[in-house]
Amino acid sequence: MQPLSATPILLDSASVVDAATAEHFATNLYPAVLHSLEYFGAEFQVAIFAIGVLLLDLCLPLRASKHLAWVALAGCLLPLSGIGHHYEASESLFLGMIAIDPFANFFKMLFLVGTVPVVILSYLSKQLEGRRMGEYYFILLASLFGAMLMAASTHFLMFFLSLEILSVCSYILVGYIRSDRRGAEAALKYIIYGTLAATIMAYGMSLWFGLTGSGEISSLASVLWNPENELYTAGAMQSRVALTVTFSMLCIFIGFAYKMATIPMHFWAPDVYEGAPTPVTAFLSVISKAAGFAIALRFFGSLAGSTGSLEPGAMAVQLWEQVDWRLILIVVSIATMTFGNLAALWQTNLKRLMAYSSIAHAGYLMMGLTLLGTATPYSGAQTIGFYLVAYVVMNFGAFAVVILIENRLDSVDVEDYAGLGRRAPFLAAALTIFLFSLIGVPPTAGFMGKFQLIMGVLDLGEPRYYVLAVAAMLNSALSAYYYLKVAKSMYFVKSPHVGHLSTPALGRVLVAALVILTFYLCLQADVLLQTTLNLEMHV
Amino acid sequence: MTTLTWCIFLPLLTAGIVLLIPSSWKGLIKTVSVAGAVGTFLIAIGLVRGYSDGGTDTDARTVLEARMDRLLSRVELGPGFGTGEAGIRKWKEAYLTPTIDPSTGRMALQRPADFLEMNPATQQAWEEAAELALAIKVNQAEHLRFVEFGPWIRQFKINYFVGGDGLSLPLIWLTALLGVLCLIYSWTINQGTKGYYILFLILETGLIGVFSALDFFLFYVFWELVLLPMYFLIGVWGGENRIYAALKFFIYTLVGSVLMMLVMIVMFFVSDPHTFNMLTLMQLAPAFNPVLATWLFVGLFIGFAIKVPIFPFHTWLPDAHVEAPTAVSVMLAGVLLKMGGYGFFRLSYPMLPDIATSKFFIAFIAILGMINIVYGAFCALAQKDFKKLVAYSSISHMGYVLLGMAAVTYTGVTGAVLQMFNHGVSSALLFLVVGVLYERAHHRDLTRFGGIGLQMPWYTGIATVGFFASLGLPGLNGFISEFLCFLGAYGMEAQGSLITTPEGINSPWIVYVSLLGIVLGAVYILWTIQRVYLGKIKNEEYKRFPDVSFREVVVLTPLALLCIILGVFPRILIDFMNGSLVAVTDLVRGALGQ
Repeated sequence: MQPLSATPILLDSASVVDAATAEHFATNLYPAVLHSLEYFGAEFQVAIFAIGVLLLDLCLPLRASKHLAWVALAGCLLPLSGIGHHYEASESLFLGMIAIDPFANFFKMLFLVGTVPVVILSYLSKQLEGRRMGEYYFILLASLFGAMLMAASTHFLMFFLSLEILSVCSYILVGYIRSDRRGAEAALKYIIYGTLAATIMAYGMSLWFGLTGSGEISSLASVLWNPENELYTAGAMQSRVALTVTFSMLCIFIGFAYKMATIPMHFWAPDVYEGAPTPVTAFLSVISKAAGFAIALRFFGSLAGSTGSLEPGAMAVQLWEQVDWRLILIVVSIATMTFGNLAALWQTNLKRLMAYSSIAHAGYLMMGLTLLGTATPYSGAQTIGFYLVAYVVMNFGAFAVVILIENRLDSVDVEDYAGLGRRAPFLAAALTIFLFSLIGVPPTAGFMGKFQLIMGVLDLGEPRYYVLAVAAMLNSALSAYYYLKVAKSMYFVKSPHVGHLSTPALGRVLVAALVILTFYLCLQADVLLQTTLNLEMHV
Repeated sequence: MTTLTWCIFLPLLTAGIVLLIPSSWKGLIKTVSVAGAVGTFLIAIGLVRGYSDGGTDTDARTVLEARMDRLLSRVELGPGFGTGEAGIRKWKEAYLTPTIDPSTGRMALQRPADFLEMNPATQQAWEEAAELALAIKVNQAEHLRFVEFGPWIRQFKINYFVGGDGLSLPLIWLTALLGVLCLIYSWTINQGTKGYYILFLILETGLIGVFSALDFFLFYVFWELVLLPMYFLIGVWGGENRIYAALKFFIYTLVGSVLMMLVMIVMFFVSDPHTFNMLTLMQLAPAFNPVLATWLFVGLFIGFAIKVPIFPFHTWLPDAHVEAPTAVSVMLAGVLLKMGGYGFFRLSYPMLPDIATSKFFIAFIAILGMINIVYGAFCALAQKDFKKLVAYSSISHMGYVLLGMAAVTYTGVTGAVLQMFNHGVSSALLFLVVGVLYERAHHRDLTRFGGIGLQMPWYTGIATVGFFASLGLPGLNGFISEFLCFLGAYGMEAQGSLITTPEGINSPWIVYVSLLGIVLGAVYILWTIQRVYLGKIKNEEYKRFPDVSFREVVVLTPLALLCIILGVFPRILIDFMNGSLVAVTDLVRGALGQ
């Protein structure tokens, strides 16, 4: 079988020094790389800010270290303009390693903007107080860098690298408070699961590389779904090949599932979420998950040969269906949301509750993955993109309140929230709104997101999708029980403590902004829809 | 903005103003809220008067036609249509005139043959205009006034589409009235006053919104908006077991509404062109594949049945009522339960008439109505708690609505809708009556009362009006509507009742058994009057009870007067509703001939 030579494989080329190669480098590679660098500005800026924060910390006294948050904040906001500048570009960069396209740009912006609340919350968090924060923000920005690369990766190598950048940084963030034994335990668990997932994923990739001779997902798809080649007999994929393809897809999926926190790689979530400093928990539950979905969308989207319109990859879609991948995704989706919701019912620790809730939401989001390569105009990228924006807003909102209250009460126990309706009326009302949004009650962003996912699923009109939609809706009714438990505690239970809980103005401004966004995204959904509708991937 | 839009959002606006008032200024909070509610009620009166006066400027057909014309100005006319006004008219006639599909006998609109060759703007304009062209042809459209139509979320073809007709305006009026009365009655709430008033005003917006929405999505949004404030009103200001009751209420209703959302989305996709417009769906949905339509009907049925509530989905109601504060019970019984009945008349029946008039569902709904009437009455008979008794009597009374509805006769439908309104008035009055007594005695145990009539004559007088109205005494409002429900169900008219005639299920025994409800109703109500108001004063403490205060008189009297007025002159309301109800009935009965 011919290995695909659309792009040279770079693995050993650096050691080769003969003249022909040198010329090849000069004429083909250097200009290509230099050209690519033009579009790499945002990532550069993040990297520079990350290192800058680290260096700056060396010159600052301990008590000023906290204020590095402002530098980190600039590191999240400045790159936005660069992305906006060539938002519509659609090119393959660095010899097929990553791509720049509206899809990647949308997710990069989502991660950048989404890290802003993390930085603010870290600044406000009492848990992180009195520590050197230079390293913290360095690692945070580095994980942001990893997440941004994940959204753009188009090559197995980059999949693995970017995923590992994010993962390794996350391990450190989770165990950032060294004196905290729970944090250390959580970090260790996270590493063990992470390594396992990464290994399985790498194994899956190696199988595919063996089958196709390429790691670039677009060319890999064109080999796999090409009935002309030797993997096929009489237009049908040979059964042993199909088995290998399915198996290795599952392996790769496990790598993503770990980031998305879906079944079967969800076990780490509750312990890690509980043990990590709360701002880090917020980061993991939102940005890290979103990055997982971005990479999964890219991968499955390219394989399904379609990111919305069927025309170019109709053949690919047909062949893709020989492996009934969608059924697997549907089953995983239903199992994930049901497990997350059922397990959340019994939680009394708010961070654990949010962990299971985030598993459940990963299940809802997976409905979007099942839409890939189908004929519906409500494509996977669009529905997941919208839902993730809504999820960023409502989940960060909920975590913001949790952190502000944790600062005052030193507790994340639902029972300790009793009487908050009177003690901190604004925060309690805001948390209630975020929780209702997480349930998916109108007129909130969460409702609009869920509505779109269900729209997409029901548009197909197939029985198994009906089952999926019904399961999702019943699940959201089920989830009301544990979200309301929090609201119940805040409003219905009398507390022995009285006295107003004062919170910093910055925190209240953040929460207020997120509340407004929660309503805005539903009442003026058109504004965001115009963006999410056009998340084309570079093919 | 039309007056109806003001009516929907004025309470919300007031809530926004109240939010800005510091929570310690309780007097101002109450005054502003009541002022907002009164304003809403005045607008509602204006709506009702405007509706009777006629006038076509805000009529559904006029508004939708105008909207269509605006859409068509974007159209690129093909060759052969000429240009300008005349060309557009010709284009409209060629492509946007719904025709009767001979195979199904339903109205439909075929996509133009050269649809794919049209430019995108024209295609989109056609999609949007086609939906309106179909909506205009529904016979209910001519009764809808105060219509407002504007795009909201274009991507999903969701519009802000509201209007009022003979079916919805009485309920809007009742909501606004009860809003005023409840807020005045709640003057004694001094714990968390601000939150209470804000939530109550949001509740009012949700309720009026549900009754005005003509876009399914908008309807759903308002439907859910009702849920949230109710949860907190019960949970925070309720009785001992309030947390359980609030959660039960929320989960029950949420299950119902998520099913409704699924139905809504499936309907959107199955209809061609895709639409959430309720009027358009009345044209398109009847032609759905029967198996699918049955499932859709079942989905809607569960959603509405939980709200009505219909046996066996009723168990949340007694709990919610017993635990809710008086004013909230009043809203709950007075208008919230009507959302279910309204949903049947606005959505289930007109959209899926084939299923509604299929033998199985006639029997199903009629028998559930019968069970509601008799079972509710028996339960009421067994209660020791005054409020629970009234709650179960509500279940019994809503059974009449089902009976009248299942029969699908003009009389039955009129009776059913009238019964919804009348029950809204009389049950609201009864819950207030219970509340007044509870405020004094701090218990609701029927066995421990006695002789209240001697101590509080004025109060007893007003209470008796409510009880007799609920019992169905001729001359009071309950009698008329219950009588019409039975008459309609039994079918003493040319177009026979589907319950008693062979074209339906031919089972008059359902009506006979239901009649038992009247007798049982008399038993539990008379027994209650006897136990509470008559006889000797059982407890020395009761001798200290003052008679109704001025505030209570202000709240109770209008409702008592309404019971009497509607009992003597039911025509006022019947004439008001007639046009719309005939249109609904015609639409549903139209399915019988198919």
